[in-house]
Amino acid sequence: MRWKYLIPRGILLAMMWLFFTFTLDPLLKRAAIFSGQVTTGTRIDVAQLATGFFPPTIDVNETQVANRHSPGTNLIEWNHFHLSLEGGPLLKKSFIVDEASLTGLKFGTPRDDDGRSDDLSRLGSQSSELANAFQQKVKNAGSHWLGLLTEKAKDRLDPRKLETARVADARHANWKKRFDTLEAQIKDFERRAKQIESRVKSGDGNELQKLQRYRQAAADVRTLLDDVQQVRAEMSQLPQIARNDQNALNQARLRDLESIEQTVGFLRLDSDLISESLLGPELAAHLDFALSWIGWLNDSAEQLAQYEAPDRTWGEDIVFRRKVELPRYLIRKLNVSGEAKLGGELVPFQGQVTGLTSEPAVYGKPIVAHVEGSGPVPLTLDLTLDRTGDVPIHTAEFTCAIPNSTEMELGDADKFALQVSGQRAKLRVRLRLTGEQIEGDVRIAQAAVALKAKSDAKLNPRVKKMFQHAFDNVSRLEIAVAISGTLDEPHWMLWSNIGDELANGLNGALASEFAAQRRNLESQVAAAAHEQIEGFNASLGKRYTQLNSELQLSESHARRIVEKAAGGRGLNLNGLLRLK
Amino acid sequence: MVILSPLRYLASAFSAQNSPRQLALGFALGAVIGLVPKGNLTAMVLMMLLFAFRVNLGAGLLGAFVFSWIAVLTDPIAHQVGQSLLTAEPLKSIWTALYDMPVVPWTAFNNTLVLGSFLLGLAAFYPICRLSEPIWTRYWPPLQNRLRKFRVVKLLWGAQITTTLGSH
Repeated sequence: MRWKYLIPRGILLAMMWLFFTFTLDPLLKRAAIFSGQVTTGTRIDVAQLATGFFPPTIDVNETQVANRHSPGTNLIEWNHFHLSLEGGPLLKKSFIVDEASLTGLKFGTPRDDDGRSDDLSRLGSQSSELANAFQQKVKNAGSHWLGLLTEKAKDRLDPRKLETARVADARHANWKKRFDTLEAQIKDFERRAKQIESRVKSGDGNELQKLQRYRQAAADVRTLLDDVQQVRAEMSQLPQIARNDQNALNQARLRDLESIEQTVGFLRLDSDLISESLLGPELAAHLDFALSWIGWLNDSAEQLAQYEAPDRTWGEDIVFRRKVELPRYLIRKLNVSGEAKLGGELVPFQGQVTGLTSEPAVYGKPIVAHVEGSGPVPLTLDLTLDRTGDVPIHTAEFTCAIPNSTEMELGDADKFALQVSGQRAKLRVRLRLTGEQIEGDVRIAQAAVALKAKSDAKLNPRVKKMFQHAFDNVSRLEIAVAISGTLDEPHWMLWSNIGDELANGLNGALASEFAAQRRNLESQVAAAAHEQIEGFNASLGKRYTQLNSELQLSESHARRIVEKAAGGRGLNLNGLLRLK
Repeated sequence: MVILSPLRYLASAFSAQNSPRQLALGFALGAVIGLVPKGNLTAMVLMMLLFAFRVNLGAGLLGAFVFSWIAVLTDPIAHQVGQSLLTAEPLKSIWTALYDMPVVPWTAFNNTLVLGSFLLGLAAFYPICRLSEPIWTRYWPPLQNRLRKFRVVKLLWGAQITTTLGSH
């Protein structure tokens, strides 16, 4: 026996055994974490990875996959993942698992750190953008329709906004200006008459000079009387102008009444706007949930399929065709069980995933998952990720009863929110992703509902009354969002019976409200217009009469001056004034 | 001294088979190991051969270390060689048959770098062995004398081994 040959080599073999026993698992754990982080783009923590050789098994325990878009939370975590590799394919370097199990699966659990990783990450970016855009749209819609409703519910009779009032004000101003001008002219006549009179009464100078003063006075009086005649002529046109103004006021009044008719005719609330504003926040969360998962699965599958080691270090693998093609990695059946948090309630579930492979084209079958709730909350998830063809086709259908949904709050609490109570709501999400094209719908249904506006909503009492009237007609809740377009430019259309029924109820309430308001407005407009026109006429007539009498006085005064001056001196008044 | 025994046996594994021919064979086999990328069955089999044959392990590990660095320069050539062979149509049926056999895929023979560097190593085996043997003949005795002066060598190898070394 060559002990000198055997013992040293035996020691080296023992050292190799120790290496595999104590360092292989930690090395594999590091490799699994690294490749997992590269694939998913998120931080992955693995507490323990254990391998066995006879038979070849792998156990991955206490694993957490961080959610990069929600710092401090895990996207997914599990307690125990066990798989047993098949020996035959393993000899051909294919990692085939006939049946594996994943237990203690949980989603959205909190973690100690923020879970950020410097590795690649694209998780859920598109879905978050979509959900954000959706939320922004419904927020705007909410502001719009509620603002519209509040505006419509206001008492629309503001006398200052009536055209009648505006026209009356304008014409009043014109008349005031006109009368002020006439009044100033008449006062000027009085002043001029007094000046003439003082010159006539003056006894200064000889007779010739007096005679000249009389002649001058006579000429001035003649000019004065001409001016008086001109003003009188202007005043004679005033009644016609007043009649025109009255016609204008009447026209304005008629247009005011017509405007009220039109306003009432357009008072229709859009049911889609109501639906979007009330249901958007609730739906955006479900939409985000569904799209983030399908997006993550799609990205991960794509990343796994496209992962290639760098050429420089590893050269190039030339793949030859086998008699029976085998994918590199395959789990034929994976049993899963765990808990999912739905509506703040933990829901236990179990199910299985089949055809989990890195090379779906080689395997020829899609990844199919079926999960069912095993607790009091009904839940099913059917997922198919098909990358066997040139264009990946993924479908997902998720149905569940939303926990804690017997009391729901819909809408934005800052603006207007509804308290919905009824039976437990049911949610169904269906999505189909063909390449970049997405289509599907999200539906929520709830029976025996009762609606109530949140008490802190700052609403006009009249609006509250209208809401209550509309709520009485709603006994069930059905919401649907149809999604289409591409992942980059998604489109959606929201429908809800709550929107239709609220819109119908509110429009009915608004119609009766505005019919009464219209009658009220018409009478108020008529009264206001009558008041304006009457006031206008009265003011016009009084001022006109006053100015007319003042003008008469001025003219008489002028004539008396001349008669007085001429009569005392034997002068011919007509000749002096050259009156015929 | 009981603790030192396994270490002495280990040291003897590196120091035994220390004729110039065994040193040269070990170094040449180590060169092949150094050129081939690790992490596949080919590299592991080569390592097992190094341990199994009556060649000097120390020289083999030295050869593997030195030629792992030289491989950085030879990798492009090895890649070209491997690619031309693996994509050669006349050989396709052979490669396909090998690829479909159990265990063989673990040798990573279908990797251009593994196949190319393995063949380069095989081609270089004999020249390295022939060229290094005179070098070992000339430089190994003075190197042994120098090593004997180190206390750690005395401690590990012991008087008996150092005597053995000295007898050469």
